[in-house]
Formats: sequence, structure tokens, C-alpha cells
Amino acid sequence: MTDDYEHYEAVVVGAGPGGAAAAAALARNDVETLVLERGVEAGSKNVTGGLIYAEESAPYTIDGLFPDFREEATERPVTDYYLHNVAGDKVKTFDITDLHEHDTDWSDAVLRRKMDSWLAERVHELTSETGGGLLTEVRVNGLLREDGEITGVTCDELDPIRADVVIAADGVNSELARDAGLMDWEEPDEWFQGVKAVVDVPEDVIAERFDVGDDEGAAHLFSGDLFEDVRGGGFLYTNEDSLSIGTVFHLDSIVEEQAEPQELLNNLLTHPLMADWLEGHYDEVEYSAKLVPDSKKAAHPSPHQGRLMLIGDAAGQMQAQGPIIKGMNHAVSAGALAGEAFAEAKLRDAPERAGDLYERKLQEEGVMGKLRPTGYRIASALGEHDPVTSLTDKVLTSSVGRLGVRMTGGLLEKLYSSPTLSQVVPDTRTPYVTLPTVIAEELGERISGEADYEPKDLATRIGDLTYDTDVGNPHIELRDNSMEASGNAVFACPVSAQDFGGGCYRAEEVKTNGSEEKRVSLDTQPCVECGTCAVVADTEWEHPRGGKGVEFKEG
Amino acid sequence: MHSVVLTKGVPDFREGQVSFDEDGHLERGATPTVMNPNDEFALQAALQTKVKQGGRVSVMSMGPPGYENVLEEAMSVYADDLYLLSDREMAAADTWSTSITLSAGIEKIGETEEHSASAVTESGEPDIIFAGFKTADGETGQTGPQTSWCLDRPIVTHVIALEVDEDEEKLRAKRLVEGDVDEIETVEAPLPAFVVTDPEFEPSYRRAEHRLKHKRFKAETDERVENYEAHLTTWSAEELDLDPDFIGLDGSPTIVSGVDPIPKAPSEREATMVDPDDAEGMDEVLETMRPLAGGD
Amino acid sequence: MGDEATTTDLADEVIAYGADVAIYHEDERLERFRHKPYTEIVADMARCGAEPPSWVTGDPGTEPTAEWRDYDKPRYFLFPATNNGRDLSAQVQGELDSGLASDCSGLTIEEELVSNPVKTGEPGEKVEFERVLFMKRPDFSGFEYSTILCLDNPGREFHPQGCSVIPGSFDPIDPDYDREGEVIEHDLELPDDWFRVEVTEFDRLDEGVDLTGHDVVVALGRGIGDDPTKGIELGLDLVDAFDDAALGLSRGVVTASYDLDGHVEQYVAEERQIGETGQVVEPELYVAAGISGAVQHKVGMDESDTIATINTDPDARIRDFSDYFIEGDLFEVLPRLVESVEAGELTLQAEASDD
Ligand SMILES: Cc1cc2nc3c(=O)[nH]c(=O)nc-3n(C[C@H](O)[C@H](O)[C@H](O)COP(=O)(O)OP(=O)(O)OC[C@H]3O[C@@H](n4cnc5c(N)ncnc54)[C@H](O)[C@@H]3O)c2cc1C
Ligand SMILES: Cc1cc2nc3c(=O)[nH]c(=O)nc-3n(C[C@H](O)[C@H](O)[C@H](O)COP(=O)(O)OP(=O)(O)OC[C@H]3O[C@@H](n4cnc5c(N)ncnc54)[C@H](O)[C@@H]3O)c2cc1C
Ligand code: SF4
Repeated sequence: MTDDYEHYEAVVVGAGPGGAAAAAALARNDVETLVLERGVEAGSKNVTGGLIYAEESAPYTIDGLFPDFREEATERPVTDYYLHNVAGDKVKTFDITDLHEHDTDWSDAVLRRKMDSWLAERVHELTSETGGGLLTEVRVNGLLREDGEITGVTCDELDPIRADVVIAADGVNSELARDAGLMDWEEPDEWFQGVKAVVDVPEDVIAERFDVGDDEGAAHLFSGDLFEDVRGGGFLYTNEDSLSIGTVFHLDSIVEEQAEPQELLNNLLTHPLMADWLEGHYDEVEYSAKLVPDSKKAAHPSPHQGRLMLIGDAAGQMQAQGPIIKGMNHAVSAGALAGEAFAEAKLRDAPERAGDLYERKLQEEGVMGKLRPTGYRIASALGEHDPVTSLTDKVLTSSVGRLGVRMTGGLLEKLYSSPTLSQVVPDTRTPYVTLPTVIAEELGERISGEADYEPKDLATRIGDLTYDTDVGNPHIELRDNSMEASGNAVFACPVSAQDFGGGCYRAEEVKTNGSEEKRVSLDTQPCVECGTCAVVADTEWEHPRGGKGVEFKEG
Repeated sequence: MHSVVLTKGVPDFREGQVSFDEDGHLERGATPTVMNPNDEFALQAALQTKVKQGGRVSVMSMGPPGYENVLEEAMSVYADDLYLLSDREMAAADTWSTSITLSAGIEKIGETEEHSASAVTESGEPDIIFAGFKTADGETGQTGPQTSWCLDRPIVTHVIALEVDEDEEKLRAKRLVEGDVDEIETVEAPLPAFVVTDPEFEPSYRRAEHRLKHKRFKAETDERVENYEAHLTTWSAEELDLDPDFIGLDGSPTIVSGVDPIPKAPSEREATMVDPDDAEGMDEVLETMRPLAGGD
Repeated sequence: MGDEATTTDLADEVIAYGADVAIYHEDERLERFRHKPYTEIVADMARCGAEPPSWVTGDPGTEPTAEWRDYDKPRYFLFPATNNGRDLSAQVQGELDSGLASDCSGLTIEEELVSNPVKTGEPGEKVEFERVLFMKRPDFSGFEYSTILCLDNPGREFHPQGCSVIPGSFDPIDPDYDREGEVIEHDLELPDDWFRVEVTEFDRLDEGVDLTGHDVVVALGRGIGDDPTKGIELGLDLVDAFDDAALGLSRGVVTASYDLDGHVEQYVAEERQIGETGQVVEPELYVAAGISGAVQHKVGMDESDTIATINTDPDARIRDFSDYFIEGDLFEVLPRLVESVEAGELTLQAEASDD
């Protein structure tokens, strides 16, 4: 039977930007390539905030690999970039377009369903030429090992497949990276949680309210006290005829503060600034969420093993450069480098050296330097300890600190625009909450808007999503249903909430022999596959079978 | 393998498409005609056979002119070519006269060299005839078995999984048997054969190679559909050499004598609020419950 | 038809249930249903050996001769509308050159004045057909009932009038095992070639709980959370109070982490879930206790005739699709319903014994 296994030179798992880039590089080098994607269509499982960058210094860019990408697959270029420091209804806005434009050839807002499905068609064309192709609705569930070596992949829907190289481009919560023992899902502080709502707004309203023309777009970032004390920020990006509005928070901070992600998003959606922009047009069409690795802590320095190479989120290659989030572009670079590495190694008749070559390329091309900047290690050593944070916070909020903020007002805007500084800001309350709040309080103007709408509740958000439930076959199982082990998921899961019976995680009072105990129960049906509970709860966590589970239409 | 899939047009019963008159009767004119939804499974089974064994998939339907759009829809699932049996004489047929007509169409494919593509039959008739279970309008589930009877073919109905072995000239299928007890049967039948798929039918492709081929065939049929008339053959009763007394309304044993709407649950409800301590209110609820109380 | 094991007691049983004559055919090869031999045997039973024309080899348009119909014909032919029964009905009626209606839920025999010229032979003329079987069946995807008649043409006889009947549409007669009837063994050579389709394996399916087809469904939701065991008990009590009811659950209950007492534990299972990813029910009465009415639950029950809800929260969504909304605690309301329904049952019985 085993002699019957199919064989492809390369198997790429996942058709996000990383997988697409890897497949394109492989196919251009005549490597027979099979791409396996679990969604019903590429993009149907994916969530991003929205801005894909083409960096001037990058070895590869998405439009370099896929001509016409910008015309066919993106929404609007970002021509204006603002940071709003918020304290209550006071807002101080910095124009940080300079930071945005630093090392940027171009940057467009994207929606992943449209982008990834367009890419997938190109990838299928390219890989078909090599004798392979791209298949959707196939979930790779592990590595095929023979005699202790990785020799291919195993899938839910297909018989095992052998390959000379396996490129795991399967995104955050990569099951392949876990299977290989290269990544774990243990520490909340290695992750961000991103939550997003796509709001339909007519093109002319966008043009008017954001003051953008046909080929222009705006990015607005938010930080300050509108997210209580949770570390992170909010964003709004303009698409052609919709807005992507979302939040990105440190997962450990969500856990610490016991924050409800959907409520934090609602805070943003109802902020006076937003109220003005959305007045009469709050038509939320999709709610979504996904974990985002923090490359500073999670990027694997040597992301390969035997025939396996990890790229993109699967390897933790997601860079948070201050308010700017760069995951897709690095996934593209890494994917193409991995493909190139295999092609070169094969040419030299040493395919087993592909992994080392890939690792070297990541270094030499400067990708690893961005993902794990040396400056961060020094800054965080100083700045991330609690006493230091509290001290800085105290100084900042004191009258002396406030005076400083007032006096340096103009300077601050420059400071915020510094690319080197933004790479190394420590992950503490100070830059995310305290400083912006003080800035807004001292320098901000009062905004008077009031939301004429109520954000959708969770039941409606879940009800609006499309699911193809794998009945009787839940993809997550609770290993430990005690509050201590898994209680955090009740609030941290973006489709669960305290006192909400329709979510994935619910806290329940259970009476056992007279004594009352609180326990957690799980229903995976509303799951949006964000990955949060893989980290914050004690679970047996897998992705659903191919084509099953949630299907995003926007992404 | 040459497969022929039988299909039929039905009113589109989906919400938003179907329309009823004041008395609750279906308004045929205002309701679009679509391919019978269950026939999609038959097409998928035929496509699976083509992916794994090679060959050709033809689609055949009996219907009025204008039925081409039903065939077009079938082709968008998959078809290499299309056959329409169309004649005024064939109109208003019940399942028996439909079966007689369809079997004549199948035989004619076998008899005409340019249409015949059989891999195993001596007569040149198609190797496997596929039909879907039950149409959405007539809902009889009879046409498949009766057509097969006319052709004297081994038949396997309610097929939920299928494998064809061209070398051994047989097929192996799993079929769903619902009755006093529900069972799954595995059966083997020699080719040529007749297969009726169940709505639970699922094609099975465990090899990437097959899925890639499937994807290519789908792309090809999408292209063909743009210009489906070029792949369409239409035959009249005369061309099929059919006796007018045996087809259409004249050849139908049964007639429909009446149609009554089935009462539907209210689409909107206004809840009567009941306070459990208010005896009168509770009594109203109990009125609805008591007739259903256990008597013995 | 069947092997010895199946036919042995069957003939006697059908006589107990009202048959005057039972014909059976026994052969080991008939253990499982197979289209060809079953059809041939049944058609032969119907014809009592008369030779039919061949539908298979006959030239197109072969007109059946009169003689082949010269058999002791049944006038009506009823089959069960199961997967196999439906196939058999279609092929037998085809072999007998007649018609049928499938999946009937109502049957009557009446005279009918027919004006259809195909059947009368003369446009504009009306002809009375006697003892016509009116076959009423749901079709058009459940939107309409049609009534089907199977009538002779002037030049071609169509009989027997056939149909398949949805199991459970008619109440069975109480069996009388003392009833006498004629049992006839049918004799026919069965060529091997008829057994060309081979059944190599068969497995029983796990049937689980079927919540459809009951008069009443009592469904419980997470409102039972304060005392789940008690909640299930109360639900079961109400189920018992009705003549024909079943217990359903919301997904919320199915996936809860309740500690249930042993005697009710078995009831909390996915197979009782109602909704999008569970079963879809349309009973006469749906009682929803402690269910909030998520859309995914709604699609499984909103075609019910009457929906009565018990919920503490008057703003629960389920209110939008309830007929009665009892605003109260299910732990208090359910026992009262049980009591009243049981009391109602008593009065019904009392009335019945009065006359
Ligand atoms: C709210 C939010 C905002 C963000 N904002 C930005 C931004 O503005 N700019 C930016 O550059 N980045 C942003 N990111 C990060 C960015 O989306 C990711 O870094 C990027 O998508 C990673 O690409 P990838 O190709 O590695 O993985 P993905 O895009 O996640 O693709 C992985 C693919 O693999 C498939 N897959 C997974 N497992 C399997 C399996 N077992 N078998 C088969 N297929 C599988 C998935 O379905 C998916 O298609 C944001 C993320 C979030 C959540
Ligand atoms: C893809 C998908 C598929 C799904 N499929 C299904 C499905 O098939 N079936 C299904 O049911 N759900 C399904 N769900 C789940 C559904 O969304 C809801 O979560 C679920 O139905 C909620 O169950 P509930 O009403 O019992 O619980 P809750 O929503 O928690 O409601 C409990 C209710 O009980 C009331 N209550 C509390 N205490 C009392 C008391 N003492 N007396 C009276 N009332 C009380 C409360 O007011 C509340 O209204 C699905 C979800 C998804 C995302
Ligand atoms: S159940 Fe887990 S993976 Fe699913 S949405 Fe909630 S936290 Fe995310």
C-alpha cells in the first residue's frame, strides 16, 4: 500500500501570502509543486487587519512575484496615515505618514478572501505547469515520517503524500510546526490577538468622510484609554467600499485584564471619532479574529527541520513595528526565499541542504534582523519589568511628566515617526496606554460625535457568519474544564463572553455533592478558529477538517 | 467509460424563487425552472467515474424546447455533451411514458456510431446510466428504476459511494436502505449498469492527482458551458422511432386529478404573553396542550 | 418474498392483520432485496403466470396484446414507500404496463367523472370510472398535495392501480391471530442471471433518536442550568404527560458541563439536539423551556404549528417566534403544566368512559 503513495517534489501547506509566494518561487524554478489549503477557497479562513507592504529593502515583494496584484487583488493604497492618542473624548492626532512611508515602496489595504483567492488562481496556473497544482478543502493533519525522517504530509482528506520538501505556510497555530516540535502554543506573551469588523460603507461616503480620492486611502490608528488598561491599539483602514476596523492586543494583557475582546472592539466602534465617520453607515458585515505571533519573541531563529521549512506566521515571522503591523510582507519574503533555497539546493543535488540555505538567506537578506531587532532585546531588558513600568507611568502622569509632554508636543510626533524607535518600544502599558492618554489629555481636542448606532451583539455577529459545522467531530477538546486551567477562554475567546450562553466557552455553576463549583464548557460551533484558546486554555487544539468550520467572506 | 446522466428541470423551490398564487398553488410561470437538485449527485458520480476511469459524460433530458438552460446548468456541474429529447408528443408524460422515452434515447446513443462511446457494452450503449433520486416537483423516485427496467439493466439505487472497475467490468457501490431498520449495503453489479444516486452520495477522491484532474475537468466544462449549444443534440419522437400512443400524456397511465396546498406554519407569530400566576392566561396555553394529552 | 427465515411467520402474520390470501415465494437467494428477481416474482404473482410482451426486446412501440392481460389481476397494488419498496413498486408497475403514485399518505376509492380526452377517447365527453383509487400524496417539495388517479385509456388498459404508501400513514388493524386465510406458495423458476447484482455486505446503521414525527416536542435549554438533573426530570414528566411526545435539547445543553445524575444522563446527547446542526422538527406543539432562541435553534423548530415558551427573560429572542410566552421560571412552570396536562388527560378519559 505504501508504495502507492503519491509523490511531489514540493508540498506547500497553506495558501496565504506566504504559501503563494513559496509556490510561485518553486514553480518558476520548475519544481513540481502541490499546494494544499484547508479552506473552501483560499482566503476563506484568513483574517488580516489590512495593510500589505512592499518594502524597498525586501528581497521579494508580492507584486514582484504576481504582476497585476495591485490592480486585481487589493483595495486602496494608503496615502494618509494617522495616529490618534485618545483620552475619553479628547484626541490628539499625529500624522505619522513619514513612518509609514519609511522603506515603503507601496502599501495597500486588502481583504483576504479576495486577495488570497486571486493569488490562488495564479498559483494554480503556475504550479499546474509543473505537474502539480493547488487544492482547496484539504487539511494537512501532520508530517509523514518514515524511519524517523520527515518524508511528506498526512491529510484528513487524502492518502499520505511524499515530498522532497514540505513548506509549512499554514499560518499562526501551525500544526506542522507543532508536530515538528519547532513551535509551541504555551506563552500568551508571545502573541497578539487581532479582532476585526468589516463595515460596508459606500464609496462616495468613504471619499467624503476620509477625504480620499479614487486611488487614495487612509489608515487611522488608535491608542490611549479607550481600551481600558489593555495593551494594544485599534485601527481603521479604508477599502474600496468598506472599512476594516479592528484591534490588536497583547494576549497576555487580555488575560491579565480579563478583557472581553468584542467589548474593546465596541469601544472603538463607538468612539466619537468613529461616530462621525460611521454616522448612518454602521453596516457591520463580518466579525473575525485571529492570533498574530510577535516576532520579537516568537520568530524561530532556525525555522526548519529535515525536509520541513516554516515560513510566515507558522515561523512566528510577524513584526509589530510600533503601530505598524507587518506579517504578510515578511511571509512573502520568507516564502520566496524558502522556495528559492530548495530550488538552489536541488540544483546542487543537495536538497537536504535547503533548510540551512533558507536560514542563511533570512539572515543575509535582512529579514531576520527586522523580525528580531537587536535593539528590542536591550530595551525590553530595561523596560518590561513591572517596577520600571510603574515608575515611568508615575513620572509621566505626574505634573512634571505632563509638563514635559506639553513642551515636547511637536517633538513627540517626530519621535513617534521614528522607525528605529518604533521597532523597539517595550511591551508595557507605557507606550500603549499611559503615554497616549497623557498626550491626549494635555494636547488633545475634544471630539463631540456620538454614535447613532449600537454595535452588534455577539449572538448576531455569530449568526451573521457562515459555518459548515463538522457535526459530531469537534476540532477542539477541553483537556481540563476547571476554571483555573481554562477559565480565561471564557472572556479571551472573541466569540465567548461572561454570561453569554451562545459562545464557545461558558462558565457554569455545577453542584457536586452539595458544594458548588464553577466549570468551563465548550461548544466549538461558533468558533472562528482564532487560536486564542490553544494558548490560554488547556485544550487539544486542531483546525477543523478541510472545508469545515467558519468561512469568512471578507477576511 | 461512457456515462449518461438523466436529468430533469423542476420549479426552483428555494425561498425567494418560488411563487404561489392566493390559493397557495404553485405559479409555474412566475417560478424559474432549474435542474432538479438531486441530479447534481448523479452528475458528481459520473464525473468521479470519468476522473478515475476516463471516458465521457453525457447528459440527457426529456423536456420542451427552452429546456436547454436546464442542460446548461447540468453542464456547469459537468458534461461533455448534452442530449435533449423534445417533442410536443412527449409533453405531460408521467414516469412510465418518460421512462419509455428516455430508454429510447439511450438506445439511440448506442445505435449511432458518432454518439456511442462505450467501453464495455456490445450494443454500444453507454456503460453506466446515472439518475438522481426523486425530482423536487414530482417526487416519485420512479423514473430511474423504470427506465432501467425498460433497458433491462442491473440497477443499484440509493448509492452513497461508488467505485467502478473497468477491467473487471463491474461496479461496487454502497447503498442506503431505509426501512424498518436503516442499513448500508455493499453491492457489486456487472457493467453495463444503472445507478441511482442518493442525496447522501459523496464522491471520494483520496489522491491529489484525482482532485487536480477534477479541477481541470471542472474548468473545461465551465468553458464548454459558454457555448453549450455546440454540444447539444436534440431528438424528436420520430427520430427516436417512438409510437405516439406510448409517450407523453397519451402514454401515461396516471393523471393528476387535483392539487391542494399543504398548510404551512405561520411565518410570523405574535406571542401572547402569559403570567404563570394568571389562571386565565395559563388556561389558554393549556387549551392547546390538553388535546394532545396521553389517553392510554 | 425472502428466505425461509423471513417468510416463515410472515404469511400468518399478514392474515392476522387482515389479509384473505397470502402468497409467498421462498428462496435462499431472496434473503436480501434485489431488484430483478423481486420484480419478476411480484409481477408473476400478479399475472398468475400469463405471458407478458417484452418491454425489453420488443420493438419500439410494441402494442401489448390483449391476451397477456388475461390473468387474475389485482385491481389495486400497494407497496411500502421505503427505499426498496418504492423501487419495487416502480418496476413491478412498469412490468405490468401500468402506473402508480409514490409516497401516498391518503387513499380512498370512489367513482369519478372524468373529462380528460386521453382517458375518455372523446373530447368534451365525460365518462364515469368506477372504483377509482384516489392517491393523495405530498409533492412539490412539500408545498402541495396532489391526488393521482391511474385510469385506463380507451385502447390500453392500465392496471393494477398502484401506489406506495408512506409507512405510518395508516393506523394498523389490531391483529387477530385466530383469523383464517389462504396461504399460497408461489412457484417460479428463478434463473441465476436474475441475481447479477450481488450484496456482499450489509451493516445496520446507528439509528439514534428520531425526534421527528411526534405530536409534541418538549425542548430544554440552558435555563435548566441551576439544577440540570431536576430540569431534565421535569422535561421528561411533561413528555410522559402527552400521548406522543419526545424530549429535545438546545445545543447549549448538549455541550454543557453539567453533572447529571445517572438516570437522566443518557438523555443529554447530541442525538437530541434540535436546530441547524441537529434535527429539524415540525410537531403540532413545541414547548421550549429555558431556550433563548438563537437563529441556529430557530431553524430546527419554527415550522411547528404552535410554539409555547417558558423563559424568565421577556426579551429573549425566542419571543419573536413563539405563540405563547410564559414569563416564568421553568422549575415552577413545568410542574404545573405537567399537572394540568395530566389532569386534562383524566378529564378526557372520564368523558370517554361516560358514553
Ligand atoms: C487583526 C489582524 C491585523 C493584521 N494586520 C496586518 C497588517 O496590517 N499588515 C500585515 O502585513 N499583517 C497583518 N496581520 C498579520 C498577517 O495577517 C499575517 O502575518 C499573515 O497573514 C501571515 O501570512 P501566512 O501566509 O504566514 O499565513 P496565513 O495568511 O495565515 O495563511 C495560512 C494558510 O494556511 C492554511 N492552513 C492552515 N493550516 C492548514 C492545514 N493544516 N492544512 C492546510 N491548510 C492550512 C490557512 O487556511 C491559510 O490559508 C494582521 C493579523 C491580524 C489577525
Ligand atoms: C454554526 C452553529 C450551529 C449551531 N447549531 C445549533 C443547533 O443545531 N441547535 C441549537 O440549539 N443551537 C445551535 N447552535 C448554538 C446556538 O447559537 C445557541 O448557542 C444555543 O442554541 C443556545 O442554547 P440555549 O438557548 O439553551 O442557551 P442560552 O442562550 O444560554 O439561553 C438560556 C435561556 O434560558 C433562560 N433561562 C435561564 N434560567 C431560566 C429559568 N430558570 N427558567 C426559564 N428560563 C430560564 C434565559 O433567559 C435564556 O433565554 C449553533 C451555533 C452555531 C454557531
Ligand atoms: S474557541 Fe478558541 S479558537 Fe475558537 S474562537 Fe474561541 S478562542 Fe478562538
